[in-house]
Amino acid sequence: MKRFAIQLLKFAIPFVLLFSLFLSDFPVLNYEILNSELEEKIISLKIDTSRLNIIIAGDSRAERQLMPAIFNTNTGLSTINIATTGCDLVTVVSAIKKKYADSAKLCFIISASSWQVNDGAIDHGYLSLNCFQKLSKIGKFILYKKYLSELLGMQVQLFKEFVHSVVGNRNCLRIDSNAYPELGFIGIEGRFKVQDKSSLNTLLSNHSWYKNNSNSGFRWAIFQNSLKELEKINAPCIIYQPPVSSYWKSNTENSFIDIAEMDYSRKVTMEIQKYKNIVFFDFYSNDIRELDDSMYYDYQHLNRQGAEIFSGFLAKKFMESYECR
Amino acid sequence: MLFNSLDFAIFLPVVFILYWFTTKGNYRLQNFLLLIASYFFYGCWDWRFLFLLFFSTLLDFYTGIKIHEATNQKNKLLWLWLSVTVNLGFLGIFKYYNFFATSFASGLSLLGFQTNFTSLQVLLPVGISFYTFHGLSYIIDLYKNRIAPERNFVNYSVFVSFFPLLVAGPIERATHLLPQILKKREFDYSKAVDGMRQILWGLFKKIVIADNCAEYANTIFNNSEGYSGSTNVLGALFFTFQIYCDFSGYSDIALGTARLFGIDLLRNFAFPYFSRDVAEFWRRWHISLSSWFKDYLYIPLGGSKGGLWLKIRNTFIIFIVSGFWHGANWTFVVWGLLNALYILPSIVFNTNRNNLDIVANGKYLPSLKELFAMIFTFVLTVFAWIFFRASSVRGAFRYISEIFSGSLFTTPYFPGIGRSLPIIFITCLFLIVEWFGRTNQYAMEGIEAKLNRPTRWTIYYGIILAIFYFAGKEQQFIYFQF
Repeated sequence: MKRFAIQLLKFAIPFVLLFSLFLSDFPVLNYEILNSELEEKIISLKIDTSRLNIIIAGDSRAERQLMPAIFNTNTGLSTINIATTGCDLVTVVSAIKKKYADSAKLCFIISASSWQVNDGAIDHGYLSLNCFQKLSKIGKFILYKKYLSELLGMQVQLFKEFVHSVVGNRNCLRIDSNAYPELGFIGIEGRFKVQDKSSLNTLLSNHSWYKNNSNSGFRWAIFQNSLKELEKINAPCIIYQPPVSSYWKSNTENSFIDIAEMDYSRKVTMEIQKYKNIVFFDFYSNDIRELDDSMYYDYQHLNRQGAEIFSGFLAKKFMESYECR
Repeated sequence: MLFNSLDFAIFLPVVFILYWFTTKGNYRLQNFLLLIASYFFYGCWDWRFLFLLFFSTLLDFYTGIKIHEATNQKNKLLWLWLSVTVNLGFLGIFKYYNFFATSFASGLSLLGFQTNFTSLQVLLPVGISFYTFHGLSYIIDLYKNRIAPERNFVNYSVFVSFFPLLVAGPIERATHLLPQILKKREFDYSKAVDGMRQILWGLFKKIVIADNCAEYANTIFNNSEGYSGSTNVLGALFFTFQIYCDFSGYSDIALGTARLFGIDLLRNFAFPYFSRDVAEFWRRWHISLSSWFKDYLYIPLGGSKGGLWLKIRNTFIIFIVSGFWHGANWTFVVWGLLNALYILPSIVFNTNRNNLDIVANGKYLPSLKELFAMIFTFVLTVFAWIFFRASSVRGAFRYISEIFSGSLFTTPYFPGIGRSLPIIFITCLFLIVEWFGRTNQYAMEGIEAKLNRPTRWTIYYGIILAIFYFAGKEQQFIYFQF
């Protein structure tokens, strides 16, 4: 038995060492934006921070739902939209720290969907590299325990980012100054089609956002830390939980999806009360009457027409909140 | 708790340490610990089915004693039938009720009668086909006076529910496993190392080959109408390796795990894809099930002793029942029937026991005759697997008709074919390793005698890296559904 244990240990040591090295943290990356799409967008938009007042950031539900032009008109403040698909609060905060930490007069409007605090939402694109970087080793293993190859894939990406940051090679970014004619807003036309019950049930049961829903784990702790960092920046921030179509709401009422969304709203509301510079608007629980189902191109995303109304509505809410301060 | 899960990677070392460090070589304590571990392992699927497992175990334990104590043949037979009926009754209700009810209703509707039957909304208890057969083998062996009854419930329960074999076999015999359970197990270094190696090899087969082949097999089988004949052939080949590596990988992990606890289980696979005829294939594929059917069904039916027609009848019964054992679907019955037809010529011409030894024994390469025989048998097997994989018999025939469409001799193509190339390469490499290791219990068994430690360890590290690198989403083992 002793011989077996010694041999096993001898065999395991090099492997564990190699593996630990591979899974090591890279503290230098805590100061990087590990999202090339976001970096490309920021550079492509050629933002002049001295003339800028509002930055819209977050995921697709800001990218495709908030029009800077409407904000410019309704508030008189210069606005830009740097939101990109799948961009979570952790990534937004790292971008703010890297690019705008010194711009004291800036305000931030950030969409924050519930998937970013769900430990089970780890399908491709739903766990950002910034968030992954902030996970502990145990956290990484627990989140990816059934998807070890994806854990390795993420770690390889992180390692590549580490090499880039050490070598200082970021030439791979694709900069296109004509890519964002609407100040970073990307409008989508059309409206969603109603599905039959069985297709909808399949969609609901396999929805990546709510998979193995767990809103109080590692990602929630990282989300809380991001809020603390936002507080340190001390710029006025609005974080919002985006609206969904009434078709979606009626079909998910009291389901695990509805429970997850409500739980998320409740927790963020409670958490944000701790921070003076952050306001939270919950448009999931509080419907905007003007947005009917014809204004959604899918169940959870507004189309261009809806984005126009929503932008006007949020601009108004922003002014109320801003003036009040 | 799957063998290829992180949960099992924690569970196994914990049980292993407790087993060897706390029981101090006391076989009663060892059995007690194994029983608790096995029930915990099974309860991780669905704790409610623990009651069914417990009841089935208790029933066979009690009827076993009663059979032994019965003073006349009539009473013996009565207890035997009680056990057989209740065991098969459970299996029938959980596994076959809905199938028979829908088949009956469809049959009646063809005759113009409309019926309403109530379907059972129950989950199939994992491993029920396996532990039911364990219990039946014990009861039948007792009835035939091959063994004495076990009078300690814990010992008997370990025989039925020993966790490495609980959910997908091998289907053990009381004559083989019970004597091992009834004696003290001492730690054996070489046995434990060999067990670890077999587990590693099993994980490689399952995670690297089976799970990756599954992805491409599913892609092709689910959209077969959109693909060329050659692509559908490739889909069938992917499934052929998926099912072999899935089930034999599971068996390797089970056997290896059992060896860590000082217990040898029955061998389940012996390189079946190197068989030279279908009869040989069935001596090498799912050996514990084939031999179970041979001993408890084929021979009681008269076996091969009553003339050619009886032999043919018995063979067909065995294969159809075996197909049906796999699942409540006509596809499995057709698969069984097809295998019976394959084996028919060798029964008629009495050549079914021609190839009892290992192919090309003592040689590096097979002769041309052996090679052609192996390829021919392999092609027949691949063809039969189409029925096993298809969701319906009609679907299987559609798939076959698509294979034999005009596009059979075109270059195969499906989305992801580029990604599948490394897996095709690894599968070829795997076949080479299997070929050179075909004289062993499993392909890597002989590695210790042939290679020095640094080379061996490099290979092990390589396999572990491949397992991590190619691991996709954790997949259930195919045979768990049976």
